[in-house]
Amino acid sequence: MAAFEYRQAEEIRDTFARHGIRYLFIGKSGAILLGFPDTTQDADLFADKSAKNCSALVAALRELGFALSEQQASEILRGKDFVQLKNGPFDLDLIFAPDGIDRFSDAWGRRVEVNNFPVCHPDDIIASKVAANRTKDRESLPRLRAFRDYWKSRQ
Amino acid sequence: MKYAFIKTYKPVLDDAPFRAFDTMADYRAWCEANLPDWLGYGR
Repeated sequence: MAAFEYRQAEEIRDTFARHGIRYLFIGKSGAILLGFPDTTQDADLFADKSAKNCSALVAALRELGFALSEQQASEILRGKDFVQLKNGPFDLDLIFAPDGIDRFSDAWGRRVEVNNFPVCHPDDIIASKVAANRTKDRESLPRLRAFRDYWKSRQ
Repeated sequence: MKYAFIKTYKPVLDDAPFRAFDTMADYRAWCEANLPDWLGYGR
């Protein structure tokens, strides 16, 4: 069981930047980076599905310490919509087609940069949770919406 | 923020080192079929 810590979010940020990866923090980890007061257990990353980006992603994940076999790397390179990694220093979900967001380029255009972290706009974080509509999403949405309104009032 | 990331064991979900799904619908269906309800991944 690998724990995820804030410093590892920084490692993702710095390593992915060196590899020129286009990605966004999404989900609760993204909201927390924007200041949402809550806890989470992993990092959810929304990544551009282009071949070049996926190739860079595999190299960066290996540099971070993820033990990707060739088969597992090929799953990422082939552009699966969702990849769950628990074979590294922390847990990571790679999401290439999140519910509620049509295209990566749309979310990229709306992204928020905070401490050099590329983060989905709160509206996109909420849209993905509304579309996913799991029990845990429905539980968190009222506070996320209230936080979004507060966050917008401060911009 | 430094202390916002907390890890607890999630049965089934944490028991494989790697999973990949062709579509989000496949992933959601797998969660609903395999994970305990109390983890909150059901709809």
